[in-house]
Amino acid sequence: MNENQKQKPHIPQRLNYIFLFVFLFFAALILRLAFVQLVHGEEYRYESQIMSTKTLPIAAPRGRILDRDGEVLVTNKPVFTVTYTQSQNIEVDEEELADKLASYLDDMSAEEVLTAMKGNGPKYIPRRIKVGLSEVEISRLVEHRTELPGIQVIEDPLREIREDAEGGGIASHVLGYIRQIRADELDEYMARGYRNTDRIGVIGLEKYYEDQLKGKDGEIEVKVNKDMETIERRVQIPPVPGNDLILTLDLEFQDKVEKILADSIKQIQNDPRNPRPYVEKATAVAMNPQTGEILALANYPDFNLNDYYEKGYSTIAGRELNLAIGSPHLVGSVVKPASAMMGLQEELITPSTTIFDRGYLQVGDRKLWNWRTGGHGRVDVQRAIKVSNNTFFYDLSLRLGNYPESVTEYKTKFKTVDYYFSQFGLGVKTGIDLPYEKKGYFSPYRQLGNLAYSLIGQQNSYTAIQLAQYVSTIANDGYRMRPYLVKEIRRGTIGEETLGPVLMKREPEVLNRVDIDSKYIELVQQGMRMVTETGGTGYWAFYKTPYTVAAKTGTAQNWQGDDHSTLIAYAPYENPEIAIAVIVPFGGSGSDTSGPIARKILDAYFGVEPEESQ
Amino acid sequence: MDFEKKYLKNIDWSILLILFFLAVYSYIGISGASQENPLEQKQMMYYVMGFTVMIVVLLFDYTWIAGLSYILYGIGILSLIGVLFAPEINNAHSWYKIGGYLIQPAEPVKLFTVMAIARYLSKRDETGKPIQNLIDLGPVFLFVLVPMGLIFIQPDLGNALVFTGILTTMLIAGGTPLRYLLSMVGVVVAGLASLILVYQFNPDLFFKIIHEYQWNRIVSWIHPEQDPVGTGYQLIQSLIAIGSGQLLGRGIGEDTQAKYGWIPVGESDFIFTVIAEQLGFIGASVLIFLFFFMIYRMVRIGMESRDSFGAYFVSGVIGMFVFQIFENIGMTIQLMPITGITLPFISYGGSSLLTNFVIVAMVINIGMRRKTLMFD
Repeated sequence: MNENQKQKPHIPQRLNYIFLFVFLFFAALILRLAFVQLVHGEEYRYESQIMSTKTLPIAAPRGRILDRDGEVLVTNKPVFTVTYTQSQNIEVDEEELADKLASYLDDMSAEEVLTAMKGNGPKYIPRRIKVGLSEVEISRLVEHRTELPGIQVIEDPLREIREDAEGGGIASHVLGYIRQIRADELDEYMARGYRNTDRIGVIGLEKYYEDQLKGKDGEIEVKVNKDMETIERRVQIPPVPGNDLILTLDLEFQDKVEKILADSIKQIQNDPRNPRPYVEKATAVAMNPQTGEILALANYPDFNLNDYYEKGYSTIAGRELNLAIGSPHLVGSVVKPASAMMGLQEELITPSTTIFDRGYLQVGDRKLWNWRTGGHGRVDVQRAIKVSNNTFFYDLSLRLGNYPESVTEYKTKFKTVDYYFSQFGLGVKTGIDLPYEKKGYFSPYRQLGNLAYSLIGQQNSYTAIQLAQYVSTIANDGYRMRPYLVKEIRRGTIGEETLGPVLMKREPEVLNRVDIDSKYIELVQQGMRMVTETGGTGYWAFYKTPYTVAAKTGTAQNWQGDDHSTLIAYAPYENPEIAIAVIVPFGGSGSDTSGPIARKILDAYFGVEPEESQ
Repeated sequence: MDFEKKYLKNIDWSILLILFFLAVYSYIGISGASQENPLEQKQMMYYVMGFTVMIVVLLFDYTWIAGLSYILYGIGILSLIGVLFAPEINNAHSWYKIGGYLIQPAEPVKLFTVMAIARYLSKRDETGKPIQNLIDLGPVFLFVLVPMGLIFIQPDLGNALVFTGILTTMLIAGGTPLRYLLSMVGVVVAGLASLILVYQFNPDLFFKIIHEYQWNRIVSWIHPEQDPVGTGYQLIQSLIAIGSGQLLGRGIGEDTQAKYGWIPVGESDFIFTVIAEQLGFIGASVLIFLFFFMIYRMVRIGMESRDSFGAYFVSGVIGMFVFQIFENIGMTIQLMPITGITLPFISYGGSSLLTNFVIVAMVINIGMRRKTLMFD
């Protein structure tokens, strides 16, 4: 070894300096590491949990709605929906996003997508851009997920409604529908535990039984990676499905009643001898007078809820009003049985009281006419019902008002009429399990003539459900039953065909016993039976039925157009099983229009083929 | 080949043991990062190759290898020029792609530069003249600045900066008078101070000197929370992962931030994050201690080397490793700004691992052929 190659003497010292620096650097690393892991470790671990563990709700399936025999009317179908949620901290070019998104969807333009993305209300509400994605669309969206900030494909169960044989809806007005919570309702629903993407029942049974149908969302803990892809899911709280509603309706009967209304209205509109295109609506309610169970509740026109769910509100706009509970009409002579019972109970008349009808009666300063201007001659209370005599009830109104002995007393007697009528459900809410029931419409006019009119149904307006409750009360000897559509609530099940256990079973509920002597009720029942017998106003409508019918027709004059045609009936007379009320606005006389409809409904109920009973 | 029995006895077995442990850490780190293809097996293969290369290097006397210093340096510089014309990969001209493997010339050039400087300084020592002025140090700066500049324009800032570590330790070990060292520190400090003054009083001028992206890098280092999903993302995620490791770690193979993809480049630049999250403070500080112990052994070898080349070489190696270790670990815990730099022996990558094996082999070579004691 060459001596010159030997290490220089400065080297060990300099290496010591270097090692000193090395020591300081490594000490700094250890200290800083301790600070991060030991001093702040707890905070960082908490942050990591927030970042990579998300608790997501599992939507509880909404309860189903079934008919009385367990036929499913409303269920859920899984649908995939693409939503957009505006991000709070990332700027997104929405127009560009809409362009991209539209290119992955089959049938939406960029403008439509942008409109849907903008939506209404607060920014953080996820907007549904397209409901019901095809599989191809889903796979495209999932594939391009990273270029679509704020866009999500969610499983979004939609209501699926049973359709009739022709592809129309069944009991659409009764069932009602659900929709996304509106921005102005959000605070209220969020406070009640809803999520901002939830749909709520807004009308019909979907609204009335919202709390039963809704169910309780579960929770799932999801581990996500940095692209928010799910790595692992762990169900923490399983969802509790909404409860199932079992209706009093019979699917088949309900369907038939709807068809009867639709066919009848179309027939009237297109009658070659007398086309009446202005007859556009009809409503009918059938209920079990003993229990209050609604057997059918139908309106014309109706709609198909599937159209609403698939194509939007415009498909049902203008037709969504449930006429039977929400549209009061002057009902005409169908109130006469109630008027008669009031007169008897108030001892203004007796069963043997008769008047002589010359076709009109002078009431105060004006002459009020019977519908048959020639008059009915001698009329007692039962005949007054049978032939629907007006004069008898004009006379009754004068007795009620103690006129002309007192010229002012009649003013206090409107209350008496309302008192008696309301005992039958006329002018009060029937208590049916549907939202937005109308009480009726009360005329503000209080002349003497108005008192007379009120006894023949030309004063206040009532709904079909009120008429149904009213006729049921007559049929069951005076018990006002609460009408109801849901007879059972059963615990919801997930993915099972069988029904869950019964949670609630509806018992018939007597709202009140009318304050009328049974013998008077019986008298009126007989009068209504006579309506369908020879010479009665319902004779031809119920000609040769294999069952016995008690009925009352009504023909309500109104200033808007042709008369409203109404009818109430129950059958069999001896032991009533079904009570019905029919209103056909502008349908003309009760015997001509509502009569045949009621006949068809009763035939359908009793399973009578039309040709058998002509 | 003059392989003698005493060399075997003089091999620094502790460094070999440390390398073995580093292999274990490397395996844990790479397998804990979220990878589409598992890379840890490949890395172990590189380790086996590394130990093989090491044996080969040990067979030659390092003095003979030192004789090749300038030639190797020249080849290295040519390869750095050549790589600038290679196809761009990951927005940089840093790699040759040969037979499916990416070869990064900057890695061996670090070794060649250390060798060349050590060679130069030891030759200077032979003349017996001490370093009198900066001109004497001129070639040292040149040896560093040429590859540093070439790597900087690739661009690969991280690897370029490693040369400052090499330069610093070799200047110190080379016997540069204290006044020069202090004045160099003074120049750097003055430069930084004047930049701060310019920033304070003339921001327009400041941003003409410093690019905005460079400034953002500093801002996002000190205040990563200002842009948590942008420039601050890596640092915040790294801190969350390391911090959530706490004392004992989340455990090997457990659900970690790294596993779920929150840690970008967890198998290379941010591998320390992955390790610290899994193994906690205890496991991570053991790793730091292993590095520290390895450096300590190297310092010992440098002191005992039989000639100046050995000592200078070792000091350059120390500068290189310490710079990389401090910068790499430091950037994951917000001690240093983030730069693309790998953790020696731990980060995935064949070029750097094999180079590092050759470097450590050289150090062991120097150690086993150290001064013989008189009575030996």
